[in-house]
Amino acid sequence: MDLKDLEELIDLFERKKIAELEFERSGVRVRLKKSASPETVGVPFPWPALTPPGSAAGAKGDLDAANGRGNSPPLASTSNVVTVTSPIVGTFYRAPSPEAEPFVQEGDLVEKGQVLCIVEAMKLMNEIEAECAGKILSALVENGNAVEYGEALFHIEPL
Amino acid sequence: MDAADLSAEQIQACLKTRVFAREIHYLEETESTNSEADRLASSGSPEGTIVVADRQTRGRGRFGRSWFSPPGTGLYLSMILRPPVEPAASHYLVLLSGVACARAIQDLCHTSVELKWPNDLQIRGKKIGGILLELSADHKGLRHLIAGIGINVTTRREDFPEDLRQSVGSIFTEAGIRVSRSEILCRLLLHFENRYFLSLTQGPSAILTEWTQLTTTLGRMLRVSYGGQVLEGTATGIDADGGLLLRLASGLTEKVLAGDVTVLD
Repeated sequence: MDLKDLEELIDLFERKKIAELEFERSGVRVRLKKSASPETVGVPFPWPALTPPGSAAGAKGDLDAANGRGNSPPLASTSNVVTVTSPIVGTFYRAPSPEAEPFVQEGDLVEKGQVLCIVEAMKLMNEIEAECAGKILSALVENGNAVEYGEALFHIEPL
Repeated sequence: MDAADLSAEQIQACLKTRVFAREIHYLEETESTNSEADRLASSGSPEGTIVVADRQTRGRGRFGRSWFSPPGTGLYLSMILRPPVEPAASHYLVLLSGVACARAIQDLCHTSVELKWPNDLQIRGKKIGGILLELSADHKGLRHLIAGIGINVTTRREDFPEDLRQSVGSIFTEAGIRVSRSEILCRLLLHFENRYFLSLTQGPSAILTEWTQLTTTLGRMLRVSYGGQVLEGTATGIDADGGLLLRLASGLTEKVLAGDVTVLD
């Protein structure tokens, strides 16, 4: 494997909605992993010193550190728009079941804490809530699509 | 065995846990123990609180699918967890839940219980239990996690809807044993608690190893429908997050974190 092969492999990896890839050829082994924040790359354990229930959030730092960076469209950088991002890799669902209406539509007004969508991985359903009251400006991911760590899901205009 | 095998008193009588089930909410009927536990967790109930019901009127499986929950024969349990970990590092608890259930049934029924990735409980290839975790988090981190468990204990074959009978069973139909739901619950909680607190200090590697010993998924040819894609390959292992490693025909190995898994061979 030469540098060009490696570049092609990285390009392929970046284009695909996969979190991790391991490739082996002629004794050369390459492992690629996507992660939300550099702090967590490759070291999910051991965790920080145990904290009492409810205080874990304090160790996570600000919104950027918690939710990753780099995947949000430019809209996210404007001060009056909040980007809701996925805290895990998984499958994105806009409704609680295939027959149900979406949790929210573009243009809807939402309360702080209102469920916007579900991201599922390994039968762990992660309900993503609005971080603030506001208006849904855009829903960025199609129902049933795979999402990555830190991927932008919604833009909300705080009200 | 009727509803007499499940009550708060019976649970108290055989409970050996230190933290779990200090607070027990026993309900004869509820829509879904997960929904009730989520409500309790949101209003401040402590870690280890359990909700257990004799029957569920809207038992839930994955993604809005219903979980058949008739009275008197099944164990419908939800536990409130508040692990001090990042949401993305909590997936191993899915595997831990499956391991605790399998060990509890093995202890009491002396029958082999297999886990299908990530955590379907099977005896002789029939699904006898399922697990669904629901995580509540915001941008600051994980608030609480509800581990919901449904096990068909003494359900008879004729009690299941006809379309489920090929693939679904109970401990009674597959192992021929009638066991008390309270006893299974207490054993399950003990196995869960021991592994849970150990994992919080030592990480999940022991859980992953134990899960690997109990699963029938590894080495099998699988089809995984995931995020609009369909992948086929051989399950070669799980990684540190509990994700399934699938070796594709191309030689590439992909990590699968979600999706519907069908065994092809």
